[in-house]
Amino acid sequence: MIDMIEKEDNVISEEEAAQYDRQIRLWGLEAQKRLRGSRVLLVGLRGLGAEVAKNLILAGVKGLTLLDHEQVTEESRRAQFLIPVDADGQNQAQASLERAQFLNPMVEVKADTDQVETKSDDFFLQFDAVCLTGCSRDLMVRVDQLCASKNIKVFCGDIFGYHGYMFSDLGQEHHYVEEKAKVVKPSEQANDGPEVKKPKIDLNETTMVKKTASFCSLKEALEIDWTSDDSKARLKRTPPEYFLLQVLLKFRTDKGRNPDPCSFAEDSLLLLQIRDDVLEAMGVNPELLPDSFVSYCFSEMAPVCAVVGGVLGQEIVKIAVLHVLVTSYFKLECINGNIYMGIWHLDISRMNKTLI
Amino acid sequence: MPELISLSLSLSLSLSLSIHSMLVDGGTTSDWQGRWDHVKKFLERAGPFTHPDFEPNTESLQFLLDTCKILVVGAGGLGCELLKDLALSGFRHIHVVDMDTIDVSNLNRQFLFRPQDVGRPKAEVAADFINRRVPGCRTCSLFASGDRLIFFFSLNTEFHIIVCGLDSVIARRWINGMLLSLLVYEDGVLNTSSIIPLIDGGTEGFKGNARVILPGMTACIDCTLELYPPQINFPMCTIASMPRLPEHCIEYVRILQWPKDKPFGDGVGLDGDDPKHIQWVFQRSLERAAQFNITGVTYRLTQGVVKRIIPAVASTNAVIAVLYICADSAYGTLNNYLVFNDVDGLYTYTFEAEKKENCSACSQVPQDMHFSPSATLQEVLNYLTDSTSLQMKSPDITTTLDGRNKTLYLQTIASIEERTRPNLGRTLKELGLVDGQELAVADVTTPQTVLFKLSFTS
Repeated sequence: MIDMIEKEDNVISEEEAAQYDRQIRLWGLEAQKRLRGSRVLLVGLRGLGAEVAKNLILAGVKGLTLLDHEQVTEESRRAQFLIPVDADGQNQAQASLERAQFLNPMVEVKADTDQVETKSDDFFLQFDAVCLTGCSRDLMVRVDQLCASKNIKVFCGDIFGYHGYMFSDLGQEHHYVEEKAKVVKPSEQANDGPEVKKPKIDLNETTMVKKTASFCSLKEALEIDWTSDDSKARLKRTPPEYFLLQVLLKFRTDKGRNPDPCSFAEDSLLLLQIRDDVLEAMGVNPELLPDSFVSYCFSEMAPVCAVVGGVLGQEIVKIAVLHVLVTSYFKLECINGNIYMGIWHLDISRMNKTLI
Repeated sequence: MPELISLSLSLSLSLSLSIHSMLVDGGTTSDWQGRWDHVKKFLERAGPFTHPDFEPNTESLQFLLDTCKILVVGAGGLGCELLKDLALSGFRHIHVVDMDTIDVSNLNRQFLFRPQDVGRPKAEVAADFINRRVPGCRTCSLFASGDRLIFFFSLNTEFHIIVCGLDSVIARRWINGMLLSLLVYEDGVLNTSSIIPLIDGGTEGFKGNARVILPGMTACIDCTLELYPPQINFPMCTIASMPRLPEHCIEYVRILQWPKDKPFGDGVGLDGDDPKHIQWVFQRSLERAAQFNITGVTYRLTQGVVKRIIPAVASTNAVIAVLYICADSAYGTLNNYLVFNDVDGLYTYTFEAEKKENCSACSQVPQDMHFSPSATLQEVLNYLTDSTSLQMKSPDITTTLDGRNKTLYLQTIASIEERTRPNLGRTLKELGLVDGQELAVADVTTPQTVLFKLSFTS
């Protein structure tokens, strides 16, 4: 019955075609097939992880491995809809597995309860894309360096209370295609006036142009030198949330956990201290991050998880599979009296100049 | 390394303040000291749009959670995401309404439904899922449309907020009109406690929007009707004689060939859900395409054109649903229309849609209509359907003549349609209408009649 599809090799089954119909109409059959062949690693199954898992599983990847060594707590369960209500004490990945698999039986969903730091390099190399949530800075940098060199796409994301960010590293040589309007060359006949000689752009006809782009690593992004002259200008355009991220990652490294609502008082004090230390070390005025940040960065807020998870999930699908996206950025979405969706593109060339 | 563009694109919206308060797992007491300080500042003051049930005090958080009653209209792509986010955010009194049953093509994004649920009512399955997953949350469902929905509304006007995840403009206009009809005016002044905020929006592929409507105060659906892109309807001449695209071929078969050939019998309409019908249209479309050397007719495209299918994906719905939540509150401070697009990178923009002074739905002012006395009623009818600011579907027109109610033209009841059809060919003068005549127009796009004032041009 569905003639077109049967002609292709690597056939999509009728069942898949029916289920994925609405998105195939969006990105095409070829892209869906590529999606169907990709294996993704998702580290961290808290609120953000659950949202990303949902979006990837619904989209129809080949396999998704859920990696998390932590146990379910009441707090972690709050923004996570995959974990059943009576699962406190179980492993987070394990507890999420049933509902996750249920979302789409056509995807191979696996749970891995190991700690991500204990995984060998080889482990990561079996995937087409890796998504890290809730990971330490050192681990993210290590995995990013390892994967980017092997053309495995790396995505990082976190939610700290009302703030969320995501980062993508598509490697040194990311190939993509861009749709460009066709340029129609003027005809040879010289009868008409000079206007006809100009090449015209035909908006109805487009061609797909292959391009390559290069992205900065997470390490470079986190180690920008803010003391140079160029950086002063960049500082003005940089959202303060970038520095918030630096502070929170340092907290995570020092304490081995995120700020905890149960120890709000002492964690708040520590956060303020870290803020002072980190920003000073970077050569940046601590006032860039006012004290009030402390009350907005505990726990994971469900709606923030959903937005960042939505965009992150879609970016993984688009970039890892569809080869159509080009930019690498920090997407910082912060809710602290304002809803703030920011995209920030890193300018590599200027960075290079400042290092010399 | 090649240079990458450095730019930062940012946007501020004002946030609903009780979103902070909502983000507590209902019933637990794990609030730490100072957690809600920033929220308390706002909850301890009244604002201009404060709902009357909302009393500024230090127990506001729990009060809001326990009493806020939300109606979610539509349990599809947006509806599923909305229900999940609302429930996890702590709302506990949720009603969900949907007139559809679950289809297999819903499963790529409507994640509260699984293959074994196909055929069951969406509202019921969605409510079941939420009630099982979120302790303390009580979600009630209604599988209804039309009259049952009107009845439901008449019984349940104490919703604090209405949130829509609809798939048709007509339905949106209907809800909009319904909420406008609930407004109470005292001596011409709007009683703000009769306002029920409406959060609306929609998604299509990678694009979406979310908006806040305070009926009677801010721009309503009809105020911004022109923002909706027109339905893609190809010109008949293209379809009939000069097709260029595969879509033209399919439309030819759907509009012209099907009624002529009657392939499945007399009076059997084209059913987009019947694979045999689609197969027939597909084959005929291929034949037509071959005549004009057009490529690209596929079964999938045929289905898409016949059913007017809109592509959809889970992630856009996830994002837009949350923006609804953020707009969603006793205050409704998203001001007031946000668009989102992640086709290429990420783009979002917010602006304040303005209330239209002479909006046919919310302005309470009779609409002006200018016609020559020798214009026919048919011309008036065409104006009502073709005008981009009215976009009526099948208007019924009545007026008062000699102190008595007179039906000029009514399409919705066959016998009356037949009786009043000759009026269409008569001029306004012949019908006895005078300058300044008031016409009352009823239509499926609005629950209330719209009043028009007829001004004669010379």
